[in-house]
Amino acid sequence: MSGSLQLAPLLRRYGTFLGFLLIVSFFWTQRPDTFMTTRNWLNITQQVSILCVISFTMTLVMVGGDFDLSVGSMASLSGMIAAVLWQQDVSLFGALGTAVLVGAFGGVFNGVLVAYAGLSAFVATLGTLTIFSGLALLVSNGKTIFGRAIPEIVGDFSRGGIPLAEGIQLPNLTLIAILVLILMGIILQHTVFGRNLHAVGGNREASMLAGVPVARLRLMAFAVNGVGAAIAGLMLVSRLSSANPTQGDGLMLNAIASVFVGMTMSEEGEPNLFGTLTGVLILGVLSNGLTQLRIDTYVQQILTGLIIIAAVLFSRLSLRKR
Amino acid sequence: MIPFLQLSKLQKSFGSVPVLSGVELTLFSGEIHGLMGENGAGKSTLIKILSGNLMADSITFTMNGESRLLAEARQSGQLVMRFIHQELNSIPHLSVAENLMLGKQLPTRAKIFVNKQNLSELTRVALAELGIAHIDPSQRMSQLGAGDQMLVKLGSAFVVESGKPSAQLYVLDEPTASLMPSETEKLFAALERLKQKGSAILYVSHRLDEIFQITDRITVLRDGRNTLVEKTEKLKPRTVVEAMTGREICQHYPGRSNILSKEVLLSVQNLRNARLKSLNFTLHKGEILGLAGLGGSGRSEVLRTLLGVRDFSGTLSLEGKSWQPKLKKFWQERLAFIPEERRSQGLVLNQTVATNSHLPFIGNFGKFLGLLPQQKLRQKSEEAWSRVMVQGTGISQRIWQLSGGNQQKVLFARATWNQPKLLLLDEPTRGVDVGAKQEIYSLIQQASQEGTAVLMVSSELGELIGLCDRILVLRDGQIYHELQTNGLREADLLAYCHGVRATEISG
Repeated sequence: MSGSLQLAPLLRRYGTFLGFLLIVSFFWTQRPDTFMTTRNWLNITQQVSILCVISFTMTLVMVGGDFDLSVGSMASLSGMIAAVLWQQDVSLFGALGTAVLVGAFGGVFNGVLVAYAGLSAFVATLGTLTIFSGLALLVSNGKTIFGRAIPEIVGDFSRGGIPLAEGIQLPNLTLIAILVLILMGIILQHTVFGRNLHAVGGNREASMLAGVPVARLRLMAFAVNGVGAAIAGLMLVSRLSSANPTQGDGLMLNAIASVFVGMTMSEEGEPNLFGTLTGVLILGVLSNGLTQLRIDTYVQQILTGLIIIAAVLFSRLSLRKR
Repeated sequence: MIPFLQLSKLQKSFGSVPVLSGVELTLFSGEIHGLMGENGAGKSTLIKILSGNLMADSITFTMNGESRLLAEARQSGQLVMRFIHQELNSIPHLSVAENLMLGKQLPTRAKIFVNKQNLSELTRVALAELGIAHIDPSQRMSQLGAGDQMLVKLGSAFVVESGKPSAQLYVLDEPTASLMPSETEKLFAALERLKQKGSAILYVSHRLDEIFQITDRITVLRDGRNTLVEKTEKLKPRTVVEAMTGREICQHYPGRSNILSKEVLLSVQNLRNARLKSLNFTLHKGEILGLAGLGGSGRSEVLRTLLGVRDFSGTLSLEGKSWQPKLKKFWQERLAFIPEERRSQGLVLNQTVATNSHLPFIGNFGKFLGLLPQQKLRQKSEEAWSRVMVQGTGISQRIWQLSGGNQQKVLFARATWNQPKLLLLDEPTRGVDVGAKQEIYSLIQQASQEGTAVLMVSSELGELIGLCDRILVLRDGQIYHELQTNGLREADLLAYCHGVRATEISG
């Protein structure tokens, strides 16, 4: 086999990662002093940590062959619920726990609709997106909660971290994203649940005929994703020290986009965590770098969309030659 | 008399596998021509070449005696053909008329608006050709039963498009599969009228009685070659059957030890459901029992019922105990199944060989928090892999990279993972090359020697005779014959499947 023949699959597999490196080097040359610094990178990881959590659990759902449009509004809802509870003088952990439970419950509800009632994931989660969003507005009365209502420690948490060197710390939010990454990695690679989920996503009928409990697995994936969305929502409250009923809504599109970009990085076009991480980082670096270049956020959005399309298109084209 | 169409020296291969080798087909105007052959004989490839869905590797083609290019004749509109395929692929939420006119020019007003009146009229006329008056053209397709839907599809062959020449050749592939006898008669009358008008009709069917009733001549294919071209009146059903199966059994089947266990593993009493009518049979430990019959005879339905995905009434018992099949418990009870559609029902194509072979059993490995002992899992998969002699690079290979035969062997690795009590096989060698077939036969044999009872559905009758101890012949959801395979001839078995009476077979 000649060298050029082997290059093609490598390029297909790592083309997106290469693209990521290209974007990084571009910003590096444009802003040599501020971009490629430890501080800025830790900053980037903190900026993407919330999207990371939601994208990693979304990867789980998408490995199983489904997807979930309701995560953004679930993030808003869970944050809102915690904030409202704090306002009512519920304890710190009581409110956090309730918010996470609401996430789990919402996820189970999605799972029942999709896996047991047989609705398409698109329709079911579009419906719950609207429900969760309405609930968030309802519990908050449409108002933003901020200031003293939010316990100080919540805001402090996102500013804190594990000190690495003088004046440099690993932000707590980044730490949470890393923990979720490791947890999802173990689930997807090393547990019965995760391996079976790969099979379900690969061929639902064959899995069913092999006795795999297809519906239960899909339900569980949705439940995990609901919890992921709730945690992301709480991280957002911590980061902003406030909660408003729509602040998480934008997360859903970015999370799905990240998983899609990541899918270009596996030979079989499967969702995978390393790919998702790359996808998230591409979005994060673009936003960070373009801001440093003082490019308007509206233009940023357009560029981000174009780059997502380019990544997926590129992998399509190289796939077709197979 | 000059034939209307003549295809000869037709060659077609898929990769390195020849599908048609030097096939000839001659069609005269005003004749109904039967095309017969077993599954895989090359009938559908031949039809697809006619319709232009496939390109022949090489072909000599004449039309009215003149040498032509097939594609050019088709595209220039000089050769007009209509194809009616066997699968029902209608669009349920469109109207009958729209389905009937699918792919044809719809009648219009002012060149843009659909002229619904003309559309209905065209449909009514086309259906009337078939003697059908009870189907309303504006009805939704989904409101019709399967038989009526088939009639609508057939009706589309009789649409008269304004400004277009009528078809000179009609190709019908198994058109009566879901028709009632009375509807079949109406179809035959309509075909007769087309024939009188001078059209040629190529009629593909497995049903001997129909072929003998309506065709003028018959072409039989076997393994991509012509084995018979003759006027129907000069033929007997038996000759045709022999031309279809013909060959001496050249396959090598592993010898049977013939020492059968007396122990009954599975007993089925009065099994009924929507498609099965009161089945009774028993299956012994280590026995290989074959289920023969035509498509739709209920063969696969028996397997699906035992798999636990069909409702039924009746009494089943497994090892003497009353048994209610449940898909979720199926594999855990040491029962195994290899489905008919390898790619869609059997394999997770984007996963590895290992994943595919341990798919039903992975739950048995996760002990603490469902964490998998990767080492042990790999070792067990390696064992399963070496048992079935797969040609590939190893258990980490992605399964889509393997050939059909090797994929099938991976399914055997799964099925024999834990020495099953019962093994259900649905067309175990479909789409598998000759060498791999041989290996699959010995795998089946080996399983039975280890005490596994095998219940096997196959359309390859030679395979059933060669492998099985007994064969049950099913027709219309009933067991019509129970046959010992010793000395059974393939042609006789095929005749039994077709419902030809025993006297005709020996005649």
